[in-house]
Amino acid sequence: MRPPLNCNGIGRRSFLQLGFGALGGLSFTQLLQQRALAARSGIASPKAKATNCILIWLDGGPSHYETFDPKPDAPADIRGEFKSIPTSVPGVHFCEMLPRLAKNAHKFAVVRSICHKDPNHGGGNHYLMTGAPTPVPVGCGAFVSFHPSMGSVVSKERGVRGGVPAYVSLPSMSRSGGPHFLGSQHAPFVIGGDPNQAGFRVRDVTLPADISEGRAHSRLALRSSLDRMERIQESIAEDPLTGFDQSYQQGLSLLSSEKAQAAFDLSKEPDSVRDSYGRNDFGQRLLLARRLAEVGVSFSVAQWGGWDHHRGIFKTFKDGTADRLDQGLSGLLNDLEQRGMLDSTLVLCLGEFGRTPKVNKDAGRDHWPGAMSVFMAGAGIPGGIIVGATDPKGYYASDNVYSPEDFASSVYTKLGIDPHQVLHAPGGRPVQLINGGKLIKELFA
Amino acid sequence: MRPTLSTALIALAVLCLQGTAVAAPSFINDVAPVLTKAGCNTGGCHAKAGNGQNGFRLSLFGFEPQEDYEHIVKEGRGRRITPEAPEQSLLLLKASNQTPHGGGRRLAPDSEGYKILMDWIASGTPADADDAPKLTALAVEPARSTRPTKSTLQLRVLAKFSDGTSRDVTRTAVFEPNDKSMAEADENGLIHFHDLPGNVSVMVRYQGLVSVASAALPLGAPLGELPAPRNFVDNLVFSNLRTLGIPPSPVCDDAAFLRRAALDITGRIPTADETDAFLSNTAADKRDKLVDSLLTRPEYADFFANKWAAILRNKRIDKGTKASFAFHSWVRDGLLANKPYDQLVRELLAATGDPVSNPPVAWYNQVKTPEQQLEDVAQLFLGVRMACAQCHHHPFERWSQRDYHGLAAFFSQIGRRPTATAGQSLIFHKRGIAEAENKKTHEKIRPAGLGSGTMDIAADEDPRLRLASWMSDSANPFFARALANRYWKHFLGRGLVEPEDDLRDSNPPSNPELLDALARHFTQSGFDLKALIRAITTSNAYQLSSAPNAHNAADRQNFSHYYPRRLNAEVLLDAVDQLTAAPTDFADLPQGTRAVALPDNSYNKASPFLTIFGRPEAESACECERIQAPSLGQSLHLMNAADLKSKLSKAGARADQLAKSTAPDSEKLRTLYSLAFCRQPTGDELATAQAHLDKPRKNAKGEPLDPAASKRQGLEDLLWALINTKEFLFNH
Repeated sequence: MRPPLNCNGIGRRSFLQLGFGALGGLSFTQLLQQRALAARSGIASPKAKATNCILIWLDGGPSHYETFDPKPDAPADIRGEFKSIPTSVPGVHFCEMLPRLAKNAHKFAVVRSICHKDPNHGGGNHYLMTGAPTPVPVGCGAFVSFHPSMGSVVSKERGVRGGVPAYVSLPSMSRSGGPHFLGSQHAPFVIGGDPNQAGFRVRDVTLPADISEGRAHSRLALRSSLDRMERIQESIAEDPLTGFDQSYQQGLSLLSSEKAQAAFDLSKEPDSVRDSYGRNDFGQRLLLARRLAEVGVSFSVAQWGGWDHHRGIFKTFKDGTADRLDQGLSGLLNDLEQRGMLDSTLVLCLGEFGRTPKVNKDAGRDHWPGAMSVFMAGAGIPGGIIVGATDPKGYYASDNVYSPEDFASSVYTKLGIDPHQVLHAPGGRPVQLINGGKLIKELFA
Repeated sequence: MRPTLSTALIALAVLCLQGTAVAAPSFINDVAPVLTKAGCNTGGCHAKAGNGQNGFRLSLFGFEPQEDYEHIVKEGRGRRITPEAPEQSLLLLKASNQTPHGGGRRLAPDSEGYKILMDWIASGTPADADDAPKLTALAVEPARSTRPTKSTLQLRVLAKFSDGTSRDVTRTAVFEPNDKSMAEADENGLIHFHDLPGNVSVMVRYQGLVSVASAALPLGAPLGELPAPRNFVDNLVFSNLRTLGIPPSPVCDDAAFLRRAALDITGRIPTADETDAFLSNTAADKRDKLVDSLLTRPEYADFFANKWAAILRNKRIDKGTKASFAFHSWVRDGLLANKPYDQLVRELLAATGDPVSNPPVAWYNQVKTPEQQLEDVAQLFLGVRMACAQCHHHPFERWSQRDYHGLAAFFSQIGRRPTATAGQSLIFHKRGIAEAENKKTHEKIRPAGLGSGTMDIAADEDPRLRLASWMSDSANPFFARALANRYWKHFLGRGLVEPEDDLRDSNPPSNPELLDALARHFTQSGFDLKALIRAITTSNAYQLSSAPNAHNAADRQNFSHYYPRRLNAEVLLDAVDQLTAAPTDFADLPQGTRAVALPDNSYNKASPFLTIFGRPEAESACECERIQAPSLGQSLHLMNAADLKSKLSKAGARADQLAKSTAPDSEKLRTLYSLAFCRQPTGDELATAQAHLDKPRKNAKGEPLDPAASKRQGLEDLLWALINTKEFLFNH
């Protein structure tokens, strides 16, 4: 029988059968035994139903006018070049650049009334990725962390499932997507590279191309026999050697997890599915995120940079940006629906703010936190609803206004996490996970 | 249950007995502390930023009692207080949960706190008179004690007031142990110690002041023979261990010392020749001599410049390298020449001119506002975090907004002019009276050092020079201690205060005498950085083995053994490069430039290795930006990364060299062990490695390899295995 092959042509089943566990040390064997036990007793199954999240971050701040909140009756210098089109939901119009999403409008919700006051990328990203505003103004280029990101909190709450990390970020970590005081074990596992490239591989999760299994096996055996530093087992000792061993074992278990390895391999996906997401880096990242959700990754962030359209916004949208967003997001939505995963997957698409009502002299729009549109689907969110509204010219959220705290509270609640719990920073400082924050009630209808 | 008249009378009687002459409780001295103690005014409850909780707002930890008074008595349409029926006041009904309260029951109706509130309302909610006694000092007894584990200790808190009276405020003070796995406090100040030995402290808060009680909980193990003290560091470390009854591990062997000292002082693993020379040297003072020689090496300056450049935020602006390279060289050259630390800081603080002719000006081009400048300077050079004090009195600290703006005022006269270099301004002193405005009160505040009086600074004088003089005054309580603690952590893996840049009354050192002595030594040496390093690294305390004994494995704060830590990103990459003899190339820098000598953060992007192992982006003044914790990404990178793979297999690199060499295998193995671990392999290890090299090998298709190829592959795999051991990855 031919063993299943990964993208390097190495059979993983046999790799596992070679007895990696015995060589990696007792705890690895124990890990496998525990996993087998859990599978038999069904311990793992309730967790399998937990809701996962795919967060699509349009870095720079997508315009609400050119996406989900067009203002066809506003003066030309506000409404811009594009027309609005009807959607599958009577009375709801989107920008004409999103025809596929318009057809699927009955499957997702758009919140048009989230707003805040931070017009900087650093601050806006922090506010929406963590649910907490920055305590001090931060500049545009800043990567700042004053509070754990939603992904890191989910990682802490859920832990590692099936050898795969809980929190993944593609292709890089979002500015404020880090764990802050939760510790680096809750930082995202970053999957760089372009999954649309023919030779795409997730960095470091497979053996180097010309290292055979047998050779890897013998290297690990040699390492175990030479690795003689004493370890301190008491957890109170916080021995970094023990911590290192744990992450090394996690690496080994990821390396030998057929499920995870298969999830990383996009070539396993039929062309028709790959095409439906769009054959570009963004679309294929969303497909990868879906595959990761399937094997138990609790929170994935798919980042797409370049949404800071200070100039030439209409040309950029027409040159494929809008089409890729339209296709990728619709592709993901439909794929999740067909696989029966939509109920257990929360899909979010947003950026740090909306953009200025008046088109500027460079045919662009500038930063505008007074209004933004947030796409939300799955996890029991009613399809076809528009939450809140902006004023007739799109300046400010005007009806049912919600804050980023409300947004984050709603996300946590959908994921089964109490948004009002108190976390403790090292030193014992109590930190409210979300300070205030009410649910966006329309999402829980 | 309604309080009866008699209980109210008793409460009144108690208050009288406690020495305050007034019959009614004082809002500031009695009522507000009750609210603090009950947790009403924490950031998660009624002191939440914005509008408090459900419209009822209190100041954080009661630091603004006047505002709190207004909110309680006058807001909420007066319904929070019912003078004609005090027990029907919403304040009491909610606090005792007789009316449903989101925060649950905070005060039982029979509690003393309830009675104080009740009595205050019954007296007509008097405000404190302007000349009412004000809290001036807070003391806790016993401030230091030695107690057995699993015992209890009753603390007593004394408050002194401006009218000369003092009161026992134990019942209204708040108690917070710094390590809840070691001790817990009940609301009456009774401390329950658990069964973990070590030092624990309990912070005591009352109104705006804090005090700390520290307790040593001895393990009480037999100490055996302690290493001989070599200097004041040893006296103080060992006397602490004696008090606690924690036996230290023995002094480490020469190989461990060589590797440790070279890594900690110069950021590199010694070459095989250096190792041979040191191990075969029989001089009694060879360890001291090694420290001296390491301190004269340019690598010492590279390594510490790397440390400082990150927290001094040395970054490129608009891709320009001029300023960031120059700033890095300035730091490095100053360290190499062993410029006194106070002088380095003065030149940085008072930098004027353009960044190319005066490199430390670059710092002002990264840290631009007076607020950022004072916060960075306080954290970097005083070990004090001021960010909280911008908006509110720091709950664990004595710093107020006045202190914050007093520091900000030193940076209020900085002028900027564009230069020919993009993004780099010329910095100059703008004539004028230095002051900073408190944005809340609009009060203008003149420059003042922390805890010191306002300075009169003439309009022509650059206030930053006065700040530098205040800092480096030998009586300054922060400057030398902050540096001593930072450097202690560099060498011993953990600060005497943790985190190393968060020195405050409520975060006491694990060994206060040692921190004082290090600071004194540093000040008296004329802020000589190398002398401080010498004092630390020539001590036996620094030279203890990392292998724990039966009693000290759990100790993480008393330095009973050396705490191993992973090599940082740059050091590790250099170590791999040296072991594999395959140096990494960095853009725009001469070949052979080591990662430790990289001038700024811009190289991280091109090096997955540096990023994954946590090299900082120089985004903050905090050393915590550097990631030292292990991660999944790191372990995967070590196992599988393409760049490591190519270092192993590269033509001319170590595996290739050794495969082609005709020397006997045993000699090659000795070389590899020396390069990786600074020691010779044991007989066992030699046998294991030899057996590995002798094994017949197959290629990926399963065909047998010829002996030469097989040997080379064996060496590559041995190198891989050595890199992946903890003994290589850690400084131990």
